[in-house]
Amino acid sequence: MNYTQSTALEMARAIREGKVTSPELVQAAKARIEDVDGSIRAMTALDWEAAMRRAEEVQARIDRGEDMGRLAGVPMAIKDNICMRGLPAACGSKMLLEFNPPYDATAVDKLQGAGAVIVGHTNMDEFAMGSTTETSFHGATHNPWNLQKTPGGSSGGSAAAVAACELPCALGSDTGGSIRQPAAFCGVTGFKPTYGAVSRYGLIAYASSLDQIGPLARDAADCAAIYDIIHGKDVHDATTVDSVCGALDALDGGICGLRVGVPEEYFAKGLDEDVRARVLETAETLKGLGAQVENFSLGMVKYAVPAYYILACAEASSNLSRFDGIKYGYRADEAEDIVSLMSRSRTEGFGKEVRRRILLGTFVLSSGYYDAYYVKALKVKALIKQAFDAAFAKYDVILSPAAPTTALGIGQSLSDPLKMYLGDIYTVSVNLAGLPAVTFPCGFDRDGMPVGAQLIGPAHGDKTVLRAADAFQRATRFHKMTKGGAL
Amino acid sequence: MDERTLEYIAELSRLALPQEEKAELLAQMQQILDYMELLGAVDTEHAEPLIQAAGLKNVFREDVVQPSYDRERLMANAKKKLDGAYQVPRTVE
Repeated sequence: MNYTQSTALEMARAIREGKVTSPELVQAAKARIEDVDGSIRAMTALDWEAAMRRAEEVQARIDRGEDMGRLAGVPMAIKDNICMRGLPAACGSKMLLEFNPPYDATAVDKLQGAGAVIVGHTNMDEFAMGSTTETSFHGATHNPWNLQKTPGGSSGGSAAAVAACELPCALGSDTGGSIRQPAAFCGVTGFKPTYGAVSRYGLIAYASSLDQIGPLARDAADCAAIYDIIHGKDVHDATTVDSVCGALDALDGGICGLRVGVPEEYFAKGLDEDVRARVLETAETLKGLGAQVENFSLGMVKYAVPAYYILACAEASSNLSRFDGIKYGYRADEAEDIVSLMSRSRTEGFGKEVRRRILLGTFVLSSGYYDAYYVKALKVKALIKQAFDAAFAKYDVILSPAAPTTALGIGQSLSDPLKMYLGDIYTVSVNLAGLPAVTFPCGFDRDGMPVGAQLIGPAHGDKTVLRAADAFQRATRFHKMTKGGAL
Repeated sequence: MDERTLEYIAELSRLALPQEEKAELLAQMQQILDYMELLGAVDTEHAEPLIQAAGLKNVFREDVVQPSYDRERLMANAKKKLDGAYQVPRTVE
């Protein structure tokens, strides 16, 4: 039997039942990647020898009757900005091209402890700053549904690898939609947990108050299974909190009486007609399952993107000041003094979009502009959070599109950064307010490209959004339509 | 934003902007900053700046000595080293 189109939970069950072994699944993933990744380019680093050794170890423990958990033996990948010893983590940048992480990220540590077999890194926009996975120093990743289109970003490699059935699931990171938007563009399920639910230790920082690690997978059940493993308080990340667990066991298909709010502003001008139609059909499906769906006005919607880019760039300019060419990363040759060593290393090591965001961030934090931009954005962020708090007094979840369009063509957005930023309108406010949200396939547009819907929950409502997405998937088959065959 | 401000910001950011990129960058930055002006329309008089959404305050841990990572391993990523230390150009005469 061919398992490449199976979910992670199905693979793990087949291993436990003795129908297949973990090394066999790793071999199958290797064959599939060798077969199709030449045209997709989702993977940036692979270590099959280590993966096979690991798979054999896990298999031996399972054979001895050890209970290693629900995903033991399953091959998966992690985004190029998540650290794992022995696997170069380049963050899609020339700056970190030869960086060998000296330690494992907490999420990696937890996955490995649960028997997962991590085979490699997936491609991403440089330092996670982009919505297309085109700014990577490794080159662009292509969308498995149409190779002329981008997979979205920044976790485009993780989304494309799952969509092309190279692997059942992968970790991504989400600062302003970087898990949810590529998941939507590639027809897979992507989950951004509540801020603080998953440790950021070992995630190469972009904007620390917004960054969160999460899964991309075939369905909400796989996302819940991964979340159950990687979440939790961590001494290495003081922003983590004791969070809800047992997400997988909470998936009972029951959403009768679930109160679903649909923000009117999210369906205003600028939204593609096909995307609008598919998301409204999703509302009808949820209604058919017993949910109470109601339109409402969320407020503050048009201020989310400008507030987000001020805050994300400000934090990026501070976080990326660590790249000085000395301790790690790219170092320019023959600089005559220390300042020119730093400037030249940074100018030669960072790509255009990263430099642009560092400059913007430095500007909004500089004397004379700090209050007008940075502090103002922090106050707007407070008002955005209040708007969500008010909404969640009335609703259990909010339904929205994942993005205003389906996947764009390669090369279409790079020349106009502002246009690219505006594409983040439905995702960035979730990060500003620290909320959990899941995107999942809900149909196709006129060109056969996947459309994604998003369900947003209140802080620590991770189980609720996963349960609602899972209920939708029990009633539909969009998540079963994969690019599993020839590409 | 004018070219002088851009150069000042670049200096603060420790970035050396190639001359041929400056005009395009200035135009893009100005366009983005103009868009950010939208926030001027929001009444924030009674809003407090929200640093992080989780609302955590004073997170403590036990003050116990923990083993650090191995020095060799941490320094392995540096391009230039001398006698177990990072090597940089001369900083004092």
